Amino acid sequence: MAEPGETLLGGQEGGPVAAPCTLVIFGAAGDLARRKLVPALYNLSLDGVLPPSFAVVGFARREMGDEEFRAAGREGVDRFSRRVADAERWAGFERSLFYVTGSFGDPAAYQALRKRIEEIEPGFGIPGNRIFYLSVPPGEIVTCVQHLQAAGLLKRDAPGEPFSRVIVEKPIGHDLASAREIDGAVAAVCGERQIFRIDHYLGKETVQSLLVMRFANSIFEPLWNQKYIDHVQITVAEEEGVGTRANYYEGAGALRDMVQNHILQVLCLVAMEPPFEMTADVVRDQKVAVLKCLRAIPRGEDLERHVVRAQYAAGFQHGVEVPGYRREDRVKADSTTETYVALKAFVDNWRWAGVPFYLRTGKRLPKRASEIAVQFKDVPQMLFNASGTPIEPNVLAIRIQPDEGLSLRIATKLPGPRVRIYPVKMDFRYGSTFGDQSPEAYERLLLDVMAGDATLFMRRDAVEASWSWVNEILEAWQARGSRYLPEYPAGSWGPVEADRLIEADGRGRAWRTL
Amino acid sequence: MPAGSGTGPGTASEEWTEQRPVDLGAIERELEAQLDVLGRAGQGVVPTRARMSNLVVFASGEAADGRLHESLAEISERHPSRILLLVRDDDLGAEPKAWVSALCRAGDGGRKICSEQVSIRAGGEGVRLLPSIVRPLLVGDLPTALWWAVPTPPPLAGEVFAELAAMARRILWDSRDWADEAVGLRSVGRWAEAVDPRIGLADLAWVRLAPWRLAVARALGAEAAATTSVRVVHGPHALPKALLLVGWLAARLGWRRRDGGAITPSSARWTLDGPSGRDVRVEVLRATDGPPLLLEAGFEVAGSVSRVVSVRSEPDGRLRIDPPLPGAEVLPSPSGGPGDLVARELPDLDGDPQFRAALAVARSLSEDVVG
Repeated sequence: MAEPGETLLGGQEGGPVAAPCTLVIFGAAGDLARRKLVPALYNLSLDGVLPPSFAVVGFARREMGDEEFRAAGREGVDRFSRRVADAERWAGFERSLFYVTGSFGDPAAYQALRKRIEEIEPGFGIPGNRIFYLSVPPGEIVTCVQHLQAAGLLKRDAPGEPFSRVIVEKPIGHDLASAREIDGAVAAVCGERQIFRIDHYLGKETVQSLLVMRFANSIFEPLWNQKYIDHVQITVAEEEGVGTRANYYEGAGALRDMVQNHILQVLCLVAMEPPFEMTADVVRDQKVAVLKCLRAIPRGEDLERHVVRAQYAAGFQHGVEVPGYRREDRVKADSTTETYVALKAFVDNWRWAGVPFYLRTGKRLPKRASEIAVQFKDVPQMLFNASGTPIEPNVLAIRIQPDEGLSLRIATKLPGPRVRIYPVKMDFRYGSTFGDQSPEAYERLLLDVMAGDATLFMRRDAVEASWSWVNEILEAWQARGSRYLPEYPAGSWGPVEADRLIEADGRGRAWRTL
Repeated sequence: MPAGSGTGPGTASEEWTEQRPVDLGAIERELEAQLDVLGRAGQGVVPTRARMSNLVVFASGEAADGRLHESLAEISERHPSRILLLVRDDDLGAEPKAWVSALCRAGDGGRKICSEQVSIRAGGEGVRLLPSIVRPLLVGDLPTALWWAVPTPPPLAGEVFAELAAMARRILWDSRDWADEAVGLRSVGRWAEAVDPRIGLADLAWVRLAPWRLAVARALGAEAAATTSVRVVHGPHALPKALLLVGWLAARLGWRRRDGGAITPSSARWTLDGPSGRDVRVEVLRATDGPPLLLEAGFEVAGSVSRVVSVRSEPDGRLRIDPPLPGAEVLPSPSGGPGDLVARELPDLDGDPQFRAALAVARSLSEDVVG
């Protein structure tokens, strides 16, 4: 069904046009709702981009009434919103917040949910469009979807009927088989266009801006290939340890938690071919093409030359001693879960032939920082580096978080009578240039779901293609057993084995200091 | 609170913002806030943040309260950097404490050009925590230099130096303040031989030698290869300079140590093999008192007519070449305090390639004079 306003505005004049709808948040008593979702919705309301006919229904096991849910939402906005809550605006916003208590596995709870939604919607003029945000553990997704179907809340979209959409959080499954199982179960209930697999990284301004940088500037794309690029580094560094997520993380590890989704999605945006139009399926076709070109990681003795996994040991951060992973709450004393992984990947196509993509992520690194760095090839060894003293290569660094922006390292002559070459950094920062804070990723992504734009969401084939590549590594690790898991001190940039992985390739390559 | 808060000791157009104490985990945020405040004070004109390097300075409490602060102001003006000043201060206790400030000066069009400084002080066991505080504060894509501004030869300082050095592209120290210069030179020389050649190393004593090397090169001229003897007289605490000068000549002219060593506590002699089979005699003498400088370098040069040349430090610090050379008998004095020397060195990321070669020879000579 065409969204109101879409025909005339075509989604161009004012950005995505959100359709009137009810947003049902499963797991509404959890951290994500309090820290991210409710503040994002509040900010969208301040920006005037929420549809006038709109309501939020929280759904979770915890006993709570509407007022308590609203108070929790207000507390979340006060603590985590990029804008402070205005009493009057909040009062207007909170009137659209409701809560239903229920267990995800209880059919009666879904009937109660349906009844409550049907009571709320007429009052807000909502025509029956519904979005179900499943902020639940991966193992409960299928249960939720099947119960929603059984309760008549979720069905295949049909022309002229109100829409129903499902938002599914990453990780989808814990390996290829489980991802296929989940995808299959959801696909049995609704069509692919109704499913929005969310990865909040893709909603970040800098990530979205990556395609603009590549395809709206004429200076980068001609250089964006193996002729000029030496290598690419993608880093997602976390300062925090496992914290309160040990129950989940013990069964996941860094490869599943970060590489399979965030990092591979970012890699796709760096490496994809230009789409012929900026529509969801065309963009996503190009991303899937990248995933299909990923060279399988070799097994056997060569494995460590391509993948290093490690676990943080005790160390110091900001002058404070912190425990090693195995001493964290709810972590097994003999855990072999990796908290760090570094990989060397290749995209085997014409554009990227022979260009390594070095990927790394870890917990308890010195700072929280995510970055894409494109390092260009050295200039010929003559003129200013004829004596053999290398000139620092050009690096285009795109900072995803924090301090979103990009910088270009160039060599320049130092002022003075001698010719002395010095690397300088041309820096663009969103905060300095545009002043106001960038919208949170969830704001853009929730708005896109309301508008039915799936460009920034993962399609089923992309999820399965990335799991397919990651599965090879998981199986290789399993085959080798866990006889040796390198460690790195908390607060350092990772294990020496990871340094060796990149340095072994020569050409002065090294991990960047962020 | 460390010295240098409020308006600073730089030029009239320079000003330190107030040093504000800050939690160790909130340093970056506080720096942003300070620049934000400066921007608001400037009617919305965001100050230009100038930084060419990360400069990590490791100092002791007494030094940091005095001339070091002036040196940092000088460096900030000539080579704006994010300065991370680490101060070992045993009066403070083990828990590290941090302050942030910015040094601003007027630029074109009324803009403020600011560079930032983080001061972190710790005593006792707290010193070993400093690398973990520094690591997240380094700005990516900027070269990192470590200025080891304490009178302990770096390799003898233990794990803290090793951890800080591992973050640095450039490492600077000053042998002038070492208590036992021969031991220091030996340890630094051995350490330097194992350091990645891409890391630029410099002893400020070597930087101070630049005018001496120029004067000696001019005095010896085209006949340098015919040198048969070298005699260097230095003041107390200038043995490294003397040995580095000899080391530089030996490395450039291809001399190899054959034998020799200390004769008295204040003198040493060596015989070196020259490339043409000619012996080169080297004598290094320490004056009983005086400034920590080179005082005189004398040379005998063989040739159709043997001659003796020398370079001597004048009371005003200038260098006199004897016999005088037309138009160049007096050369400018070796200048500069540590701030000047460091600011001069920072732009050369790879360091002076002649330094490592000179240090290697100086190290081998120092082995003979270690008590």
